[in-house]
Amino acid sequence: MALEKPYYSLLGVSPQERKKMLEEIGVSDVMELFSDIPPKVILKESPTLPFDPMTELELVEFFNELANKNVNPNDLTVFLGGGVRQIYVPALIDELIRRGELYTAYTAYQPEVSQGILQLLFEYQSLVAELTGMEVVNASMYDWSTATAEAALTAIRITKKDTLVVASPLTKARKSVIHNYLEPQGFKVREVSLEENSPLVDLEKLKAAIDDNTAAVYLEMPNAMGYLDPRAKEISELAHDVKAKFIVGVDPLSLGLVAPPGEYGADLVVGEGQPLGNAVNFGGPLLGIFAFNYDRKEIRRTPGRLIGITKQLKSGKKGFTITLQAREQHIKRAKATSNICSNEALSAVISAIYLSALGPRGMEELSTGLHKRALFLREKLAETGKVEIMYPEIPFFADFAVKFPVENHEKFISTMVSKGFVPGAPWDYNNELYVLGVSELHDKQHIEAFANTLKEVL
Amino acid sequence: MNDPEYTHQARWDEPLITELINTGKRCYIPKRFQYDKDIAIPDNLLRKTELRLPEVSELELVRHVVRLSQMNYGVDLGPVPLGSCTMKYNPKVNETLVRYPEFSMQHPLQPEETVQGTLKAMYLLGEALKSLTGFTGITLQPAAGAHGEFTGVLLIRAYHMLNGETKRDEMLIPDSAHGTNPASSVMAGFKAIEIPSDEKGRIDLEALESALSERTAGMMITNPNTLGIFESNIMDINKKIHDAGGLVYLDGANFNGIMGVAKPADMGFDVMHINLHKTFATPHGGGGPGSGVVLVNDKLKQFLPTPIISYDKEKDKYYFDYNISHSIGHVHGYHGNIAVILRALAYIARMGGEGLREACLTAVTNANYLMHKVMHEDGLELPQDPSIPRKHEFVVSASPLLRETGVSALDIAKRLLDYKLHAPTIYFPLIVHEALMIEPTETEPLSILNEMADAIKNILKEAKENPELLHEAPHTVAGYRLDEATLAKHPILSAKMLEKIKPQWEL
Amino acid sequence: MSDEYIEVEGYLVRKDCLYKETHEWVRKNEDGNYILGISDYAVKMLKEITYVEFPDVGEKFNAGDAFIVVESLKASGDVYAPFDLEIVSVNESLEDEPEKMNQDPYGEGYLAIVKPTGAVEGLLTPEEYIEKLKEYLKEE
Repeated sequence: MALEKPYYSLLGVSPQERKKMLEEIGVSDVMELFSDIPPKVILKESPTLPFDPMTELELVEFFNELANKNVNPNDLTVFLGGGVRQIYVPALIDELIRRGELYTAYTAYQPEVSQGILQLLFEYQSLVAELTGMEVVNASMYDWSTATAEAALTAIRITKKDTLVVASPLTKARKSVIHNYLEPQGFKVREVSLEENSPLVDLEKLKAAIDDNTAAVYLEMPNAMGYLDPRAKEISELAHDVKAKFIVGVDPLSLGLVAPPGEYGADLVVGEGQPLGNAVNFGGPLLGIFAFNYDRKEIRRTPGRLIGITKQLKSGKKGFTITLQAREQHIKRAKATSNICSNEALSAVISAIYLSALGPRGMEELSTGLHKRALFLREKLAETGKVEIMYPEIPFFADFAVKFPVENHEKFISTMVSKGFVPGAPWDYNNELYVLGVSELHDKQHIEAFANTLKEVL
Repeated sequence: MNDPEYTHQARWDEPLITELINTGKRCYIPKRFQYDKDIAIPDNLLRKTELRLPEVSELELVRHVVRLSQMNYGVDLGPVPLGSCTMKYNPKVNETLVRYPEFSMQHPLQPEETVQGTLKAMYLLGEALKSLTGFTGITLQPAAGAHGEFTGVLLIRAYHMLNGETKRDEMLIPDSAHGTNPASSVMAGFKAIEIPSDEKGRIDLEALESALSERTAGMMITNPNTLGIFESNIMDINKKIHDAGGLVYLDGANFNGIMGVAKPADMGFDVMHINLHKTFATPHGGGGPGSGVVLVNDKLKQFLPTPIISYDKEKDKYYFDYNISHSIGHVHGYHGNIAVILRALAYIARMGGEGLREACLTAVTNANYLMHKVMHEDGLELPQDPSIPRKHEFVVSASPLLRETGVSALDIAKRLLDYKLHAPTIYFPLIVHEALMIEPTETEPLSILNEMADAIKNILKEAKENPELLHEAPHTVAGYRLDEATLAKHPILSAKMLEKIKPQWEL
Repeated sequence: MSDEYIEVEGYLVRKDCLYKETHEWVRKNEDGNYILGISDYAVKMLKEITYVEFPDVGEKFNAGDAFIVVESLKASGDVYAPFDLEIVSVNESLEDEPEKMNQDPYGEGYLAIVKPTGAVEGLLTPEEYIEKLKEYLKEE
């Protein structure tokens, strides 16, 4: 009978072993070990769950059923960006990241047995430093949104001022995350409205919003609608004029082509690292990029783990370890720079492998390829004669906005889905406006088929 | 017993990948896209600085990472008995399941009708965790335990705000708590007020009573606590806090110690987080990604982050539900760490309610068994009442050993690495000197528990015979102790900084 | 050297300084300013010191304010103003060589020179500080 329990494969001790162990420590019934819990909350039997224990194969069948309720990704061409993106994960990444030495490891608090993951994280920090044009990158935050909020808090701690000025349109979710991180401690967020008929902020209004209380100015390049702000350098100077920090949010896939924020005066760079080798996974795990330039005092205000290189005392050779831990919650508790503990380490390792696999030419080809797909998509959409291309004069990277001449948007989207396409996502503040993004998966055929289907449907 | 003379890890002199630049080699080549028109980005926005990424062949990159992996230790190699970390075995089938393209290729902005399977999985996980904890609401957004804590205390804040109780700005936290608790409270706008433990390692009731006031927003409690001891007075404590107008947060890091045996909601807690990467067997990944889902009772449901996942029985449809009257909004850019959530669901489905309870009973048996094997050893002491059964973990102090031989908890931890084992958590909780905090988990076999006990006993002997051996340990793994002090004084945090600083040691 | 110090269970207490029970010491200069640091015991508790964060010269603090942070590998400690004071100068040499605090806590490892802006009171004599120290050591 006993052998029929499917979960025995995940227990290290058999029932008879457990009995023996309990005898050895003088306990006759395992429930004696719970005698200090108030009897009235002790459950007489195990709680009822939506499913009974499954064997491995039964579990696989259960997951097959779930998977079949999702659309097969081969049958759906998805024109979505917004920081996260569908990507092809090169085979070597899955092969390497499934090494148990890496993914079943704990945080590297014992560096002597963790040199592998520590070196890989140091390489992540180094490669993203190259990509962003900064000196230091931490070993990850949760995602772009939380990284942005933490960057704002960092700037507030450094400058001892209290306001974040936002120089880009933000998604509702990101705006909310920033609010949740800043408002409870009494810090303010000042948003600047957009120029008329433009996805960029009104520069005069931005100037007026920046003042002596400004701790940081935040610009997204590209922004949530996909557009690049040609005035980035000027905005950086506006921030620095009032001794505020200039925070830039990036799509790292753009940086093989687009200028890294280090070139136009960024003090802190944040962004979404998911598309650097991590499957999109319905939006998580993601990878919050957090980069800055080294300053002895300011680094003490930054959140997150940092991996450093040093020498091994006995051999004199190079070695790696977590450093500057006195900023972190396990030491500084209430005075820590952040509460972050678990981060997205394995996603960062994946990104290190991906960037190494791409190399400089691969990165440039990928960035340029995405940009050209977006240009081609825009051209094909314009050719339908039915799609209104928004902001044609503003440069963009791999996402851009359009209007479809439809009244029932829900119906339009579901019609397009039934024909195998996701036609972008309605913009958070105006569901007439769609933001479309491309990915490495897209061929000319996908884009042409999409344009042809739009011609039929519209 | 394991031989501490044997070599236990590869020791490769693997160069930094960043040294392998300008070779002309290629590895991953992106798919081509022929489009003859020029790029449409103005010159001032184009990259001017050279992008110094490595240039390696595919084989070179594979060897680099495989070699580095051989210099790393994880649960697949041996036990990781870190207290409060619940480093269980990570079932292999879960790794296969989450990589189904039907799950891994979906974009979070896709229409609901295209991702019914994923939404159903998220919904089922929520229902299962509600059943296990007794709570009625859940958010899956938090990406880690500390992120969940932050979310949970934000909910408490929103609750008091809505009731017009804006003066409640104090969060009570026992001195044995994880550092994340005070840090999360401060980020949510509270003052962290420390509550001392009594001599039995539990919350000091008198100190608690005198700290409660009209400024009390709530209390964050870890139960079982970080000593592995259950707060027996928990109902009383929770009532006192409620009577003072506060809410009670349960730090669920130690949920493995009561899972399936008792429900936190029945004890009077209002909100808790669960670390899926601890209790629910998803891999720790060398630091993350994890997931810190938050469960709440009816008092706090109306404040949960949007959206939650709901099910429309009539249409048989799972959907994003934004209908939360006083939602705090978002704490994550999308919906949380979905691939972690799927793994946790797979684990729960395999275990069932019955298996989860058995996991808890076994984990608690393992901890108490190992404790009995080592607690009477010369050099160690059990700081709190030995008659209290521990739950999933226990803490011993190496203070006697330090006094007698100069060998510290750190030295013991480092020496354990030479025994093909991983160190326990050390110097935590802060209220125990020379603490060794040990959590074997239910997935470790009896033979490993015995090996751990034997190794600890042997190390205590070595400490008396040859303390120098332990001060310099480990000797048989990939790395030796590192010059951490020089690094903290003059940090080198990237290849770029390394190039600038040019240290005097061998790369 | 031994004349200048009293040793208590391995910790040195310098005779010509005054102390706070939070382990700061001060010594009066001829110009009326005070030289300030933390005791040998405090330094040994922190272990290897890696960084000191100073306030700006000219900044003023009230007695009891945390005004300097001393960081070591696995700890971080606040230094409290022993009386109302203004910063005259800080020991900048600690930026490159924080280990001076470990080597010579009452000399080259001092933290700052401060000017009292109110009454200088409530300080402990070396003997009184030693009594406090013994209490702490018993508790351990």
